[in-house]
Amino acid sequence: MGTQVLPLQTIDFSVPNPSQTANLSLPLYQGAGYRADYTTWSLLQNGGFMQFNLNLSSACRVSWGMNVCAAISNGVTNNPISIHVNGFPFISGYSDHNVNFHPVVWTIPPSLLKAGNNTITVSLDATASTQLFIRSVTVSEAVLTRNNAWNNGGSFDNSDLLWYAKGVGVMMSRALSDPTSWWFYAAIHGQYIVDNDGSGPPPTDYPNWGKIPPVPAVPITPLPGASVMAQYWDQCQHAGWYFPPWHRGYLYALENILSIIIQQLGGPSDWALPYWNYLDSNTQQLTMPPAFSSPKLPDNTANPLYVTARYGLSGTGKVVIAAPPVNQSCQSNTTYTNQYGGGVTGFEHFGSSTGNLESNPHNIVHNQIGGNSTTTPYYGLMADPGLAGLDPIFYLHHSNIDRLWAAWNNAGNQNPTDSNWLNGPSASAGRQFYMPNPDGTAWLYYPSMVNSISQLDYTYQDLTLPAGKNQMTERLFTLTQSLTEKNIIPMQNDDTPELFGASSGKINLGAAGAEAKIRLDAPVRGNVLKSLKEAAETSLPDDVYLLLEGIKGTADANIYSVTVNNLNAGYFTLFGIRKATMKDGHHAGAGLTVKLNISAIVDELHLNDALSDSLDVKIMPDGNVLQGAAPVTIDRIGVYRVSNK
Amino acid sequence: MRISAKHKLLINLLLIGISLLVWVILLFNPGGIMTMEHCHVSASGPSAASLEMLLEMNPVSDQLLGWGLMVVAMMLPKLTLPVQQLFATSLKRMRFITCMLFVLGYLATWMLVGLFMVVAITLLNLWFPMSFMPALVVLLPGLVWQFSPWKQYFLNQGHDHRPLSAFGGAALRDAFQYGLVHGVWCVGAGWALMLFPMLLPQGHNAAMLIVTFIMISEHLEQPRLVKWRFDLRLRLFRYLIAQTRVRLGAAAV
Ligand SMILES: [Cu+2]
Repeated sequence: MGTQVLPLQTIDFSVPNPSQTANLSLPLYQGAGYRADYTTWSLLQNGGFMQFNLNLSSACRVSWGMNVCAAISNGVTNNPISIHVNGFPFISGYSDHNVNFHPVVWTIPPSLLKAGNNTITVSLDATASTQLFIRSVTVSEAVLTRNNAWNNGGSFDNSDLLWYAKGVGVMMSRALSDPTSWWFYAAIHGQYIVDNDGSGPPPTDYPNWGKIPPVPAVPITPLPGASVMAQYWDQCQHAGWYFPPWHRGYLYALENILSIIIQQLGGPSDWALPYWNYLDSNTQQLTMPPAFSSPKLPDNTANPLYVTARYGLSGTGKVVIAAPPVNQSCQSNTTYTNQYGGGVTGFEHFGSSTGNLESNPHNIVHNQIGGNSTTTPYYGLMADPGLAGLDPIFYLHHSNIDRLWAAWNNAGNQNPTDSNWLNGPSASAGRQFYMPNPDGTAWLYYPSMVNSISQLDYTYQDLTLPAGKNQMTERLFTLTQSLTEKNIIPMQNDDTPELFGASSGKINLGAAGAEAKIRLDAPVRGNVLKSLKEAAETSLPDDVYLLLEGIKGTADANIYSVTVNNLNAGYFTLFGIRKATMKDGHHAGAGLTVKLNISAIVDELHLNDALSDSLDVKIMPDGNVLQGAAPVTIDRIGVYRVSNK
Repeated sequence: MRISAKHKLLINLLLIGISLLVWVILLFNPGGIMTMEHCHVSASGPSAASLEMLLEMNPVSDQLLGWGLMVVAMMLPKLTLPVQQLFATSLKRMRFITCMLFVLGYLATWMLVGLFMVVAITLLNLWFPMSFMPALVVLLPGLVWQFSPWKQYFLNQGHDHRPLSAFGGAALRDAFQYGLVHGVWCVGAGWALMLFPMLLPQGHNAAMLIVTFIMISEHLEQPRLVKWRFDLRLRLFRYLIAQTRVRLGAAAV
């Protein structure tokens, strides 16, 4: 995949012997003939095809256009055609009824094509009783644009959403064991049906997929073979530095499957996955697009986008994102590793080094959509990675996360260049990233293949970055009270963060939350205070982080707020806690680790002469929380110092 | 919290370096501490006299020293991850001592086990001097254990992290206890693999090297479902190949 491999080009069929263009040739046209009277070629009604050879330097998204005209016989047009791409039935039974020459266009996803020669066959179906005239065939490289789901009011007036619904419906009609089914696809993210070698034993009650209240009615049979499950299922990468690229490949593969289904249904050739931009707090876009909350489609059939177990913050089913705490301040990060995109990990279904993009907005939005039911002991599908892929809103949320990453790169921020990142977990002989192609084959991808959206031939309606100062700039202003106009970007600190203080003993996060006194180490405190006193543009102050180490439990949907000495330190969620707590799961029950930057709080305490030998940390439930079967515990709360010198 | 690349390298070099150094000692076998000396005169059968002679030629203290060196050589490379984690979550001035105590606790568990192992090995040598019989007899249950769910259970536990105190004596105690407990999981996973080479009258070093390879591979593997599983556990091998490939091809990516 890459850009500019395929320039726009056309074969003109208005001559008896059309000449080939650079990438497009016509090796076979059996059953097709030149009609001198109409100066065009046509597919004949007694069965025939035209076979094109498309030569690509590398697989890319191809726009396939034909200028056609349907013949009339006995007052009717009956000319169903099928298009095969390398043997795959890409379009079946398309029938054209327009008797004037006009263009028809399809978009072929790169996954059906390969570098070198590709065979495209356009054939008239056996049932045809009239001809189809083809005056020209045009190919070019296509780029899809993912649009804002709130276009046209976020209802089914937005054709992106209407066709998404229809495509999802088709995928939902396929069997669990089919790699292109909705259910299989959700299980790639994570599932609770089987113990897929290290994913942990499935729970007996909810969230076991067999216990999910419809809609949708989630199937738990027929299972694919064990090796297929081992290759695909329980793959999602969280709390580590493969979070952005893994999810990009996940969305891309789904979009390819849906795009073909939608074109087969007669939908637009340029359909792309929309995104829900819940960060735009000035508009009504904080609310979930209404197409997802309506039980019916405009034609009064069931809406495949509608999900029962989607409770929202209030627990009543109304889904509105609360901003704050949801924000896009992660976009002012300037470093990928350990900051924006997460810490260095191998294949980690649940690691312990969550990046800022992942913790906010990603995690908080997951839980604000899923939420906890007020009437049942259940939480919403979106609040648990073993369920989230079942909810169609998931992919619009992740489309937005992917958009943020693309916008972040667009502004000049760099992804890692470390070969261990570029090559993905295969660099450490770990499980590799596989997605099903629309034809059922496996797509193996590495972060290097999804490093930028241009490699994948799509873009977003909006790729602008919010303006605003970064945290270091704000801090310098607070500490020195002198106005800094430009953004101060600290050098990346590669030293091991230094423990500054810690709680003693396990902490229970009960229904009312928890309070803990964090003892601070005197010598470290001296160093931190010194750096704050001397803070200047040329002498940047230390950063201080609060680390909630080893959070364990099963209440995925819970959201908590944290205060330090009664100052707001931020929010965190337990998204993924069930999977991260499983003893025999990939992460050995180490639980989740949450990192909050509390530098601004420490600054304020210092300015008030209130940074004593301890900190009071208060963790309070935010919204409706479930305690779950297992109580939520935190192994230790640590405070760490990172020097910026 | 994450550990810096520099510290990570330092810890890895130190642990793997010590291991390699001890490997060299073991392979050159100065003073014959790693092999059972046998008195061929008394090889006619076990008796109090032959035991006495055997112990005279192979004092328990020497045998324990040999055992200890073997544990250090084979096991230290497996401790890189927990030591890195302990390093990153300890107060700066206590990093070295907590990591030391963890390693000591871990070795203490293995030494305690070693005491029993040495006695068993001595007795087996008494009954079957210069014989492959004891090794073969251990091999069978060893193989069963190797592929058993119990083994997987211990391997999984070995990935466990514990809450550790940060300050003073509690921090020291926690680090040492962490080492002891980590040692228990490691013994559970590796006892058969350790015992087998010890019982070989010949080819002892080669067997130890192979066993080390397998044990590090097991350690690199993530926790898995506790069940019967036929797996040669060659992750280390695959890891080395993958890294070589990635490093060689790094410019091409
Ligand atoms: Cu996700």
